Amino acid sequence: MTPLVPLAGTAGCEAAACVLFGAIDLADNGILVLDRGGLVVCWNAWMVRHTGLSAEQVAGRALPELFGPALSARVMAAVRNCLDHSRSHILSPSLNRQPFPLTMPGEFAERGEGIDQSVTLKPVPGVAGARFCLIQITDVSQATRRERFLRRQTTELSRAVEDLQAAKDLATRANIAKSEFLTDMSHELRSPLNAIIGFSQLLEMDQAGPLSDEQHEFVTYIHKAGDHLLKMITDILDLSKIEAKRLTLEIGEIEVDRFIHDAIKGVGGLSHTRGIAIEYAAGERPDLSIRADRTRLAQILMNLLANAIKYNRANGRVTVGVAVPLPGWVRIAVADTGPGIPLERQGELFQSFNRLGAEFGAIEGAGLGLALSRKLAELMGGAIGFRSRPGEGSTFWIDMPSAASAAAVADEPGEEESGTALPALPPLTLLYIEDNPVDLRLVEALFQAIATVRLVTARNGEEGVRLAWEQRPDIILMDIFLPGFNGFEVLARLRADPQTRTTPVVAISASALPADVARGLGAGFHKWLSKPLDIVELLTVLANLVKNCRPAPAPPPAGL
Amino acid sequence: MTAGETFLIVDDARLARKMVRSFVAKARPDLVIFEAAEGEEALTVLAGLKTLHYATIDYNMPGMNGIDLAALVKQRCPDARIALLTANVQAALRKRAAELGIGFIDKPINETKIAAFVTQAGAVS
Amino acid sequence: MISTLDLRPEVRDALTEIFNIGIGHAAGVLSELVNDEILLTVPELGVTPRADFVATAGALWTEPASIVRQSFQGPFRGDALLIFPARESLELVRALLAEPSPLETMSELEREALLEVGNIILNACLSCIADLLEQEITNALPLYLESDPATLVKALITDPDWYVIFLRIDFTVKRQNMRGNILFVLDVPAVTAFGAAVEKLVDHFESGP
Repeated sequence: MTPLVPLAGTAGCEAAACVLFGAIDLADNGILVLDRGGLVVCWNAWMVRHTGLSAEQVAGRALPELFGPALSARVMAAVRNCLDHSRSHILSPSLNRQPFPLTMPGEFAERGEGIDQSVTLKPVPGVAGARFCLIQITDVSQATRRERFLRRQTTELSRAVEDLQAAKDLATRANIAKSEFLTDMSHELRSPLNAIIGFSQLLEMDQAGPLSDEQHEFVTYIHKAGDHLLKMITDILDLSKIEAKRLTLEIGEIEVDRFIHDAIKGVGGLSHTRGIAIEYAAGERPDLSIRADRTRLAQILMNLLANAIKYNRANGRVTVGVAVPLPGWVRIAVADTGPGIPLERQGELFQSFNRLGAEFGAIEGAGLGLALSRKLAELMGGAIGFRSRPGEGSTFWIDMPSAASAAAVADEPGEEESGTALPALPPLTLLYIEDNPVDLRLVEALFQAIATVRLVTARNGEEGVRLAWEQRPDIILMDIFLPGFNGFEVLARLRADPQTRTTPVVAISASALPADVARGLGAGFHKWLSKPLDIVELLTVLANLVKNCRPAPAPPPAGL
Repeated sequence: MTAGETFLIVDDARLARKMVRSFVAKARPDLVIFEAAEGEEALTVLAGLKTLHYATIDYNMPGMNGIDLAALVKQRCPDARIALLTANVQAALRKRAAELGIGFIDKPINETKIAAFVTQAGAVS
Repeated sequence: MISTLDLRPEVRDALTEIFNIGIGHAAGVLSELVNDEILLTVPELGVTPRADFVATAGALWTEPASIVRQSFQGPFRGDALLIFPARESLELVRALLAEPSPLETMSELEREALLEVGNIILNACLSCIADLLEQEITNALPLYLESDPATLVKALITDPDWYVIFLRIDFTVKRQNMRGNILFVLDVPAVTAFGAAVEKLVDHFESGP
């Protein structure tokens, strides 16, 4: 099969040969042909350039003769196999280091640097049974250099990635350790606080007998100090969590008007004590809603309100207003008639623990409120701003993204009334499962004074389940962390028995994390309270449970 | 050349055994030829012989490989002329064989190679 | 399992031995190239008609494979394939080149090295067949493919009468043992002549002195 169809028949093979040889000489690879005896019969220009041997010098000679020991033995073995048995061969550059001793042509010749080659050998049948061997040589030096470079790069990259991964693992471990430490501390700190706040509350409510005025005063200090300590611990832990990016938010729609009303109510006690009036023009924009985490937003607004009350003048005023600074945003502003903040100190306002000199005054605080508030606001996609002039008071505001719909947010089911009076409880049997003796004593002391409540206690889950079956309490109150099986397991057992299935169960936990609360409620707890216990809240919960006589939610699906 | 000399052929390939037998018989009709398909069998045959004079052992066998068997045979019959049959002689193998005083015959075997093996007296190359 | 054409056990053993010798030589060449010990053996062999082979081929190869393919022609036509699981062929070529590489796929140069390995092994096998048939067979240069072998073989054997000589091979380099396959896809005249040649050889030596 000749590739020279158009030329076949042209006068003289010479014409065809001319074109052929011309083409071979122009080829970008080395082309050489050996005859049956292994002698050179064709040698193209590429070979001349890369060996320095002319066609005349090589014609009719054998390769070993021309190149000596520099020629790889593999080449000749392949040549023999090709000529004797018509085998085609490939000699790859990685397995054969420069089989032919070649050099870069003339002007580029660099000493000692050969050329990486890919060599193929193919048998060529001639006329009348003649045999030839076609050898082609391709310069792959660039390819090999490229690959070597790529391999080096990849190795370095892999090493860098490994280092990075190791550093990341280290950082992650450190972070986990820190979070675990914080969680432990949170638990550790909350338990004694439970005792401080709980027992001082009981004393205040004359549960252990009437107190003298002075005793009342002392106990109130203890209670306030406990509350304050709790707030500080919570703030510090929140700040740490934000820094460690472990703060979870529950973003929902909040109806602004109602929200502000609640917040103002929340600081009612403080404003009353200080004699500061709070004004809120409710009717201006009753339909506004914002998207935020309700609890955290409340935290911020309460902080701003508390500051406005505390850093005010005698008989001063706090004004709360709502505005739309830009489309898609809602601003809640809190203005006070206090002394204002000197310009040169305004830059320090949001620093943690910096109270701009107030630490030497009569107003208590840790200086965390604004720092935390700002971080929380930013986490929720909002911002806190302020304007203040000495002698004119300050206005602080929170800007939050507005919610799409203006529909009112539904009330939380079974919203309890807050108040300071102790709710009355009808006769009921209460089972309390708790292993901590101090917490146990607190609740025992509380219900000792409440005649209508018969308290039964258990120290662990097993005992609790047994007593539940035996005593058939009206309500079960239990700590989640129990020795033996934990609160969830106790709940499961109670649910499994038809006699205890419908009994309302209230959980007490050191965790107030929304995820845990949701999990608890989903598992079938009627209410999830977190330590430290607020006596009033506890009694209100119990009263509401009895009042509503709510049927128990459906038992949780298997696999709790 | 004493009559009654013994030749042991060890190879798992039947064709190879038959070929060696055929070439040996042609070159030295006086030899008594024994066959075994693998190491254990070879040792059993060996136990029944008074003396062994020649042995060809295939290197690539399942179970005991050729060089280990050859070492055992050499131990029991120090004067025997032993050759390993293999298509793939490599440096490590060559060295070990030399240490043992054992030679090689390249596969594929032919008349000439076998004839050379059984007609030359003295130590193996 | 691949069914084997009615080859007498002696004939099948003889064939296996013939290929063992051929592949043994290939191992010798390779070990010189890489300057390390290489063992190559054919523990198993079968000759089977197309239909049977295609039916059971799918079960043989369950992972993607690296394939070196050499077509051949002469008085007999066909294809020779060297098949390794993709992962193993990467390990193999890296063991041969004694060059660990952080790349997860075969580089250009590594692929060419594998082509040469395939070339050496398949050439040796082809020479066994050619010698047996006492005919000259020319082969093309090897080509590299990554494929599902079963599908490829099906595509190659278009003629329903063709046969497949199927070899299992063990490849040991640097204490790593790898398992691969070699396939010879052959036309009928080749297989018939093949069978006859081996039978002749066996009979010649069976009826010995």
